[in-house]
Amino acid sequence: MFDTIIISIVILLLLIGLFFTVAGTIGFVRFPDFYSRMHATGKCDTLGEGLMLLALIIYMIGYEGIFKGDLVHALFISIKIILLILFILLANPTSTHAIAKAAHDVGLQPWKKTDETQWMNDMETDEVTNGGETG
Amino acid sequence: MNIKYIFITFLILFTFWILLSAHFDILHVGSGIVCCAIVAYASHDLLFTGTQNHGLTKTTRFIAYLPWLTYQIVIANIDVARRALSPSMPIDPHIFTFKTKLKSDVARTALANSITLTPGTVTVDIIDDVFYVHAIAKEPAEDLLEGTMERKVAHIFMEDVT
Repeated sequence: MFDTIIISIVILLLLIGLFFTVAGTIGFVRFPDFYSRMHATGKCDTLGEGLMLLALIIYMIGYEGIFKGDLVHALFISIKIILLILFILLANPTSTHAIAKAAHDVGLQPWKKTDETQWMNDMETDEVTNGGETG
Repeated sequence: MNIKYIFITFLILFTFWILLSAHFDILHVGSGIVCCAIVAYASHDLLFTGTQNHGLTKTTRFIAYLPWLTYQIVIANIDVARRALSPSMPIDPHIFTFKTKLKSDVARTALANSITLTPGTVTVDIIDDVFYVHAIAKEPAEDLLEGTMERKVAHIFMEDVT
């Protein structure tokens, strides 16, 4: 009974993680330009991979550790997976920013649906200055 | 004179070594001690740079910031997944700029990474105190310009942004 519950939670988390990863990939194909594709891949991967690794932690501690009784081994592997999650949390936005900055530095213009001034006027705050055209 | 910092660096490195190796025989632990000692001696000044003010308070506040950031990451993912999957694809991307009042490099890095992780915005460039941010639609940009995140980051690093 116990192992069935654990495995069910693991499968559920894996499926949610898979959903976000697939959504990110679909966004990567559908979005019109480089910068908006960054949004799809840079964000959905963070949560998708995080949920999948969380599922692995629950599997290790719940199934291998408590159900099969090898808790020390399971805890060491879980700590390694937690380190992986922290690394992804740190590396994903950093690499996304690095690639976006490289594109901005060479002067790649973002795809726009509406006019620049209209977009700025719609924004409610006055702190905004027109900065999209610098390269 | 730096023996305290070398020792703390050694402890952190050796804990990390034990966690990653998970072997407790004489060969693995022994080579771990030797390697960690050499690395701690050579690069302890990378971990402890100059004077650290209120290091413990900042660390505590940063850990308290993480649940809110995780919540924002979940919202960001649902938001992007919705925009990617919906047939009409409601995106309206632009690059906009805003000025930050944060002073230190660490605080600006934390803000930039938080912007990239949270809904619909990616930090493209930082030139002095001007952030170039690419937003996928209007609403995320408006949320960012309300300044909630900047205030939270400023609170962590004890800076005044008002």
